[in-house]
Amino acid sequence: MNWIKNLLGEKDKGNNGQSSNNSPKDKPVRDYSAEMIPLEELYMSEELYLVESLDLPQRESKPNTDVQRRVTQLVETVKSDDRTIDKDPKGPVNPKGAIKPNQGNKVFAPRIPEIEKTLTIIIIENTNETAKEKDKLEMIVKKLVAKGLVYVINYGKKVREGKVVEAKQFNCSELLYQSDIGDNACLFDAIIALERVVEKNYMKFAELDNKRLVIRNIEIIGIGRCIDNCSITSSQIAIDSFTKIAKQFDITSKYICLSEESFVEAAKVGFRSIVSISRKYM
Amino acid sequence: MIISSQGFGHFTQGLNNQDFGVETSRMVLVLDGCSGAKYSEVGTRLFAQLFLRKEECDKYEKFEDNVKEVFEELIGMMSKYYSTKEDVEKEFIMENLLFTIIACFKTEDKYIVKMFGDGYIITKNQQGLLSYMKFSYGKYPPYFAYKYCSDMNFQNYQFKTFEFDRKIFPQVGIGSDGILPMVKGELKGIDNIISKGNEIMVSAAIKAQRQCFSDDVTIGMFEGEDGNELD
Repeated sequence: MNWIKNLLGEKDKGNNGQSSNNSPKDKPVRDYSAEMIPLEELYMSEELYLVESLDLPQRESKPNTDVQRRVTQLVETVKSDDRTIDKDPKGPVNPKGAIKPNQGNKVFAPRIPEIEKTLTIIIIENTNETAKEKDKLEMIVKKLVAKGLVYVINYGKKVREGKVVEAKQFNCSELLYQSDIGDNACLFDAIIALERVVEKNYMKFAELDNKRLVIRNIEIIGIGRCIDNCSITSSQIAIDSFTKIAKQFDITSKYICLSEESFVEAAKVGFRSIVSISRKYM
Repeated sequence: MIISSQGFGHFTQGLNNQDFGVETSRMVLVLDGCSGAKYSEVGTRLFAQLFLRKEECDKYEKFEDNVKEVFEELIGMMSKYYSTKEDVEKEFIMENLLFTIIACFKTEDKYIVKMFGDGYIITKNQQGLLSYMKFSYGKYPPYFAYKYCSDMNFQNYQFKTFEFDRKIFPQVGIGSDGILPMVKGELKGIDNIISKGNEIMVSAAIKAQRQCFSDDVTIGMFEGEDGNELD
């Protein structure tokens, strides 16, 4: 620890390690400046812990120099930090999940691991037209919902909602209802249902066993012709609702049209990416 | 505004930017050269120059006739350099004139988009949401030039026409298929920049993320005075 003593003593003697007239003996003093560790590094160094074992009289007296004062402060800091290092003989240093008091007596709750999942909401038209393309649609949906969670809103004459399921458990053949199928489509009512589902799930936490599930990303996939002919909700209200959803961060939307003729309708609602299931040039 | 940028994939392969775009006050025209054609960048630039020299080239009613005339003139001009009709098809048409044609016209009350081949239409609805309509026809999309080839199956294909009411869609643009990374959301915040319709900002955003684009990118839009009213 000579370097600390030298560091303190040297500064008293004057700049650059040159001896002053006040030195007890006029011996040439060794230049320690090259060996000195910068204070910033010193703070990070393990050797600092050893500093407190030194009996430095300067700590009691008024610090003479800036450097001395800073070293004193560092020693104080190390001492106070040292108190937070658990040296409790009763148990381990910091067992997992233990509530650990720190120097400010603040208490932190144990951290529960979070699992982020993407929710894919499929909003599909249940009419004769979509039923004709059932196989093709099932294949497309299978590719799109490979992981995360899935929720299906099915609309024809009325809106039918499923429940949130894991993608692995999702059965594509349940996309369309075979009964009660016609040409009516209440898209705007379905958009209101969509808004409700998004509000219920987006950025909400669900407590599982020792884990928390959070949905930060939502992907909305519309399928059909994007037409409406029997909704109670007006188009303006539905479009406003959709806009409110689509403008939120990390919510994306896509519409898979049965043909390119429906593109303009999907754009009116505001679906971001619009594609067709057919690649034929008609 | 017309923004065209060479795709990073083409840059690394040493290929030129095969896309090209021109504009007038009433029309923006995007031509997307076929990557498989040797000199499609020559075809796009030649076609655009001659097309602009046509009388009322930016009138949508005359658009299809004008396109047809320019193709016929180009093929007629170049035929004398080739000994047979087959050579003209194989060595001139197939190597130079394969490109997608997408044009957007602005009238008093609507935007009209005419397209032949694959590409994108970009719309902004009343609420300010952008939509990217993708027109994709697989690996071998139809090109207008096939009409002048004897063994092609696209003889009867016509231009597709889409109309957009300006009250519902205050802004409409067109793009080549190279904008796919933008549609996929690989460029954060690009939708905001596009909806403002500022040419410099859109161009800077694309060039800053050039490595995302493997294919050439071209976007044609009318300057964003309509769009800005909403912002």
